[in-house]
Amino acid sequence: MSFSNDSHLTDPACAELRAWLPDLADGRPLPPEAAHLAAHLPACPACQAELAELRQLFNDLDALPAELPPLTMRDDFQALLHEEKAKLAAASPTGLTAARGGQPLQSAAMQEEKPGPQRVLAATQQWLRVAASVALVAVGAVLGLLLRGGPVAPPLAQNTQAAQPQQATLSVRLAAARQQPATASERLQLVSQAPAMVVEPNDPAVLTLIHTLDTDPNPNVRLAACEALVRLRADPA
Amino acid sequence: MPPATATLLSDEALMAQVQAGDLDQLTGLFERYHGPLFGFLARLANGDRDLAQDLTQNVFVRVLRYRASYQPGQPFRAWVYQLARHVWADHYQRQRPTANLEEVEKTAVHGRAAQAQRVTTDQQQALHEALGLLPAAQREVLLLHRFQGFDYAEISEQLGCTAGAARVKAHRALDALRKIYLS
Repeated sequence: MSFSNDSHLTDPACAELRAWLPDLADGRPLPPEAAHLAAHLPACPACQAELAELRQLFNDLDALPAELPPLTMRDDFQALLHEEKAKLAAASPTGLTAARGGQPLQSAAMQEEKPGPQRVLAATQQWLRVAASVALVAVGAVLGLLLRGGPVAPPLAQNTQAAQPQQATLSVRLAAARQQPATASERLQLVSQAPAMVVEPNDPAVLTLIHTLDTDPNPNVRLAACEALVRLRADPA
Repeated sequence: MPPATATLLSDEALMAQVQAGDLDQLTGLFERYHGPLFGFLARLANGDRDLAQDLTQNVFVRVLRYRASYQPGQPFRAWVYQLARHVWADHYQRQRPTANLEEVEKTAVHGRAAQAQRVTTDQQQALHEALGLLPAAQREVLLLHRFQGFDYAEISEQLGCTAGAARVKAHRALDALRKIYLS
């Protein structure tokens, strides 16, 4: 639909009318100051062709579908607003100005402008943080279950005189406790009391302690047995 | 302020409340303008929707950041589009291609390429391509006038020129687009 008419480019009337062709193509009439050009258009095929092209262009531009924003923009905007309100709250004397629902808002710096489409990377990093948090909680729960035992061992027997009557039965009680369905806390308590009860190197309780160290199913009891044996070795008396 | 009441307020009244510290009122302005701004920036970005989304978000970042500079009574629409133009200009400066497209795209080669594209693809795609071949400044004026509904006086305020000069710029942009698209 192109046209090549040199006179169209050089003719003063064409040049003057061309300035108004977009308005004509939009359906607006010539203004009074350009009314004298109305007679030129019917006589100028080049101006008519240009006017037809502009009309087609405008029709095609109007037919372009609208660019609709994605719904996620609202979430991004609310996050932005939340950050700015938190910043205001942090800056205010009471710190509560922009708080919502009585919950203090997190202090956050103003959101930086995104240099480009880095949304995917940011979302990935956020999900990695969440996954790491979940993994940390899971590991903590598993460790807690594994290490859950009886209460911390009570202090070593403070009164060896009072423990004397029990000396003869310690090895028996330890062996029995290890073989009976005694609780780990009971075994732990017995093992912890052992050093105070052993008065001679060949006390059978020492062998029981060694056996407990080897075979007790509870790691805390085994550890207490080990500590008891170390204590006895350091202070055999 | 209840949302129903907020919807009755003018852009300028809402922005004044935002300026006074009631940031929730910006939600109403966001609802009114994020769509048009997204469309404006998406067309400036040659249909890159991800980029347009980020840039639109950046416009509202700047609305919050520079809310103190808003003059009471100043048309909010013109102000926010000015921010959008600056956001785009900053992005364009960072992403400026090495070749000077403003010179290259005027060559006959690109005219033929656009023509070939028009033949082989649908009409709307060809028009998008032609818009993309326009120099950035011309594309901006054209979008403000044809798609965002700014008149020449408003565009002249955006560009810092007279209304007559804005009219000339808009006509040159139309002429360039017509030649790329139809010639």
